[in-house]
Amino acid sequence: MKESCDNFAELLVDYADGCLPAEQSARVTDHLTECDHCRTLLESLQKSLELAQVIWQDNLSKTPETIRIPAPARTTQRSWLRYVAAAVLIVSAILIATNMLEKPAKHQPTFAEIEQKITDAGNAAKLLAAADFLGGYANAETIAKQQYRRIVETYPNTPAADKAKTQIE
Amino acid sequence: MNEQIADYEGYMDPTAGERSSKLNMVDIFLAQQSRLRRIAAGMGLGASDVEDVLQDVSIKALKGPANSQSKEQSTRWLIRVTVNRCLREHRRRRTFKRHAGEILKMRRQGDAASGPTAEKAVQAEELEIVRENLQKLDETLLPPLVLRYFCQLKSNEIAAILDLPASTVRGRLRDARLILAKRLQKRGLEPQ
Repeated sequence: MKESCDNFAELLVDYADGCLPAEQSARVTDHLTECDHCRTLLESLQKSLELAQVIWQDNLSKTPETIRIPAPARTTQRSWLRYVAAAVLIVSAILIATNMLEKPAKHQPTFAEIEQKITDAGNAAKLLAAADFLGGYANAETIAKQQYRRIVETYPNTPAADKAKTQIE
Repeated sequence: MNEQIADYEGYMDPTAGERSSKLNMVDIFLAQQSRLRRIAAGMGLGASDVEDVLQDVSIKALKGPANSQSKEQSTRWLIRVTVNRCLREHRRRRTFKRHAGEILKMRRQGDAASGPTAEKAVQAEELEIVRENLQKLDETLLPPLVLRYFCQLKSNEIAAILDLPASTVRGRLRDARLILAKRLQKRGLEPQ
């Protein structure tokens, strides 16, 4: 009975390569004598491999025989430069940090401090206006001077304090 | 060709590993360069791509694998790196670019004793079918095919290189061969 060709397709590859055990090889040979389809497939297997060899060989003939490979010395130089660059970065970072420590940052007033200054200046200005008003009366001159002193002592860093000082002198 | 055979002999010598373990990777690359070039060409890469691939592999050789290895392991490692790098090129662009007519023209220039013109025409058509199908061949099938039939490595050696079971390699070789052969048949261009 003639065996199915499907059973032989894979065996044919090994048969074509000559690596089938003797018993299986004989079975394939028997089948080939009576099967045109498998005989053609076997010829195609051989032919396609021959043609693939032609293509591979042609591709190989175009390629350069040797290539330039990077010299190890060059990579050594590169790594040396990398160390120098790293060292420069570290030194720069240290210098910048040292410089920052030596020069303390200028004090930036907080919002609360600014608000306090404005309030003091306003209070001082009100007291100054009152003292100036009292100073206009002969009997109240002593009270006015006390008021000027109070402005200078209580709100020393205000424009009103500067004016109060001139009135005391 | 002699150089090629010498490479294979070195590779297949079972005692070679004991004699020369842990050699410099660059020396191994230089010794294997012609084989790696053959693999890259077999994978269908153009001349400049072959050069790029080998440059990359040489750089990897300079850096070396993670752990020190014997000559055989290093050789396998280099071949695996080359195959993987070639597959990247294979995916990225068309390979086997030179058409059959051009291949035959180049062959004729090198061979004055050419056959009848009619036979050449048939051969060109068949050659083109195989070229196209090599180009389309699945990336799991092309490397074993090239290593087995263009670099003459045995299935178990290919299995070790590609980190696959030997039976898988044999299966892929059969599949690849049958694809090429059946497509040649299907076009109605049966061998003479």
